[in-house]
Amino acid sequence: MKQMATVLAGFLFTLSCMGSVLASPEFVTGNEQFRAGNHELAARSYRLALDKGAPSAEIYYNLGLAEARSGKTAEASLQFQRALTLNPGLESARRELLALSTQANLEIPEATWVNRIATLIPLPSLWIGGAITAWLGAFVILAGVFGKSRRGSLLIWGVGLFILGKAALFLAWSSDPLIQNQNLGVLVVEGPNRLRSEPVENSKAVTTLAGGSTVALLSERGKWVYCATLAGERGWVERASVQPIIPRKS
Amino acid sequence: MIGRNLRTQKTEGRIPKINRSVRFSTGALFVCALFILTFSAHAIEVTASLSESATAVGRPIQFQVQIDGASAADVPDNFAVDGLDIRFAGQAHNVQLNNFTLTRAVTYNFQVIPEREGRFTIPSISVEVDGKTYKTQAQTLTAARYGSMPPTSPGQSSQSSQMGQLVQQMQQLQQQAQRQLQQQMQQQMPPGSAPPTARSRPQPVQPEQVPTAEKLAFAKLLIPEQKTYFVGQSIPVEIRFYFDGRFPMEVAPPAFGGEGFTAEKLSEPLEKNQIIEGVPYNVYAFKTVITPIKAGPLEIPPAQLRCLVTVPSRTPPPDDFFGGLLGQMGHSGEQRELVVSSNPAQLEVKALPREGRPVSFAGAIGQFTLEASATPKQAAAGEPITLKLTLEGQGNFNALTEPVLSAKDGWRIYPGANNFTPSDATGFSGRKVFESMLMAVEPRTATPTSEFSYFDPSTEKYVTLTTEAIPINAQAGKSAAAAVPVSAGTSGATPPVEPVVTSPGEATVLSDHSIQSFRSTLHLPEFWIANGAAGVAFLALLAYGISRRIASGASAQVARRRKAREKILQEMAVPGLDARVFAGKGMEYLTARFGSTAPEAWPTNEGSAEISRCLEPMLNLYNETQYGVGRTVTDLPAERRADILAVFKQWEALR
Repeated sequence: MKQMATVLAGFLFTLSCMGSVLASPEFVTGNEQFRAGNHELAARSYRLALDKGAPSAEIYYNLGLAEARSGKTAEASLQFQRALTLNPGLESARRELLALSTQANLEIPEATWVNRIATLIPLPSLWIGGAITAWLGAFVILAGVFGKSRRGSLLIWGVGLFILGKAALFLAWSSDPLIQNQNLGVLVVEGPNRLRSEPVENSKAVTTLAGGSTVALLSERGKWVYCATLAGERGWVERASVQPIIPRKS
Repeated sequence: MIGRNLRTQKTEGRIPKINRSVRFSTGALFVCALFILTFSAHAIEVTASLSESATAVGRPIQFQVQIDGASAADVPDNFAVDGLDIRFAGQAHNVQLNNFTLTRAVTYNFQVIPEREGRFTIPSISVEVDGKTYKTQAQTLTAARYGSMPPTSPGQSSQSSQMGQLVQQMQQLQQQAQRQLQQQMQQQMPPGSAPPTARSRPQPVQPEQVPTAEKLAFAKLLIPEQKTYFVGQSIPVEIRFYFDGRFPMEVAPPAFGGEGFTAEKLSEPLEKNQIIEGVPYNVYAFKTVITPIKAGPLEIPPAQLRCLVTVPSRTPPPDDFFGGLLGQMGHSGEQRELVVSSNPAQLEVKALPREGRPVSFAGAIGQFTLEASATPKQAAAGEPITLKLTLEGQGNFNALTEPVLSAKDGWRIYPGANNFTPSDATGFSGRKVFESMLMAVEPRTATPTSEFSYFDPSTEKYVTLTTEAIPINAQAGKSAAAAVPVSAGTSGATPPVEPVVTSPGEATVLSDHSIQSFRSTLHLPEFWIANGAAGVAFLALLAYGISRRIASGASAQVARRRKAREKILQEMAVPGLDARVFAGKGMEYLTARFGSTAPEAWPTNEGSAEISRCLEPMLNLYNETQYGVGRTVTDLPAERRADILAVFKQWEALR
């Protein structure tokens, strides 16, 4: 019994440590540069940390802060949105993004109750819990169908668990920014960005958005990307002026 | 072909009359007939025309003198016009036989290149035909300043216009080269020999002496020797085209490019002349910069150029009679199309090393120096200070970013204009100046320091340049942001974005970080593997349940049948049962047990014969009951019935 408790404690400790790592040297350097007021150097350090290591919401958040302090609103918006995509529960990133959008008049997606689910429940838990519950329900249904006793109650429990699991999976799908933000991008050119009616330079501007605003990426043609604003207006921007929130090579 | 004539031969003096001697040998009769046909006198008409009435300095146009009704004429070429370079460019003949009427015409072509802008008049020219003198009308030409002419056709792209200018420059260069070559040849003449005048033609080359295509024109691709090249490095490249100076040529713009690298636009050609193995060559050198974009072996394909070269013809001259009649209208030269290719090259390209990469490195590769200056040194409150950071050297200037500023506390900094001044035609070397506007938000006595890192491909090491803080005296301006003017150099730029200002401690960087992934749990293979395993287990259990259900259904049927048989046996065991009913029940049991009453269906063993004998009375009784109509049925004694029931119970015990 004592041995089992030890194993269980070790397992729980391992679980609690999962996801957190020792800070990389570039990350530490970036923090030092940031505190010294060298925000551009800090931004470069964070970029190096991201290039060398795995994605991290905290590094993206720090990078966003450094870019914001350097006056690069569009870049900062992109990095904050990436941080929130990786960790929707990172409230500091949400706060900074909101402040940035208010200050620079950015168009960014508004948080809905579905988005808030991701801040309340860790999404991997929702995905895995939903799947386990749904399968559990399916097996209980099986037991109800082929069992010899308490078949009725088993069937009711099974169907209930199955529906519950599927609902959890649907919620996870609806609120997972890694899925919902797949086709979103951020205009990274500082200042006004023009969405054009045709994929041609100097064609008529459909609308103008501030750099750092979010758009939906609909299709691509050559060096042009067809985008939709959050208000529904559609137009073309040059590929170089828009960055997907989820980096392509991840 | 976009190119234009690169004719270098200059004809001076009187243009020789075309031989009109007619030999009355083989075709004398035919000639007579033709003379009869053409006897009707055709008026000789002499006209002069310009291909365009307006051009630009250095842009050649064509001047034609056309003589209708004659196959030869004496046309002067010494009608020099101040400000115009007029050169004889050849003659063309036209003979047509139409409705038994032979019409002849000869056209003398001149190339006219304005040497300065202005309005010019080509005077009337006296042309002598068959002893008579005719005069052309004067022509007026307007020349605009160099490069001011639009493309020749409305649909012509700006690129083809640039190509046209490129070829035009080559043409001018070739003419200059020809003059220099003539000067060189004059200097090489032995003493006492008559110096060749500018009017003299170059020594004609016999058809047998025409060199091979490889020697008529060839090219070289020159890349600086280096052990290793790096991704992103700017590599200067020179492409030299050599053309045999003794033959006129038409050339198209050169083509250069390939996969795995980017190449800048070719520079304007630099010209020189060179004598190689006694042959004068015009050499045109194009420069560009290539940049590898991936690591690994890199193939640089050859640079290519198409040209048309006119060489003396090897084919025999036309028949004397027709040659005389048509005035040697078949030219004695033939044109050959050549594709001039340079040598290819192979480079080994490596990725930039990660080791030792400074934080301030942003992709600069080459050799650079960094200098800083600030003006003014004294700044009142709200007055901006311009900090100039100058990077000078060689390398990928188009990838250079602004040096990173440090020690910026107390300053509000707005990025300003940057300006690149190349010192060569390709932009490989030069100077790039970055300007920043500094506004002191606290009193400051020194500017921020700057740092710039680059990778030196020659030493294969990163180098970091820094500048010291420049002493200044700047007063703090409270409304600095409002007072900042938009830099005049930032054309089209939007006003600088106000940096996000948060009070210290309100938002600070996070000191720990975790590892995440941009892949949702839904897209993780582990998730799908686990779900797949659960799905397989579910299907397996479903299959098991169904099979169990099927199996239990079969056994229940067996049990039901057994129960029915046991019931029959119980009914047969009732004492005093009618013999006929007993026999009927017995047959019913046999049918239920074996599916048939035939003895063949019964189990066979050592006692089969005895069993048959035991059951025979029952079978007979049943048959009598079924088929013996009106007959008295034999009864079955109790002991017989007991034997029969014992047999049945024996069978029932069998599985």
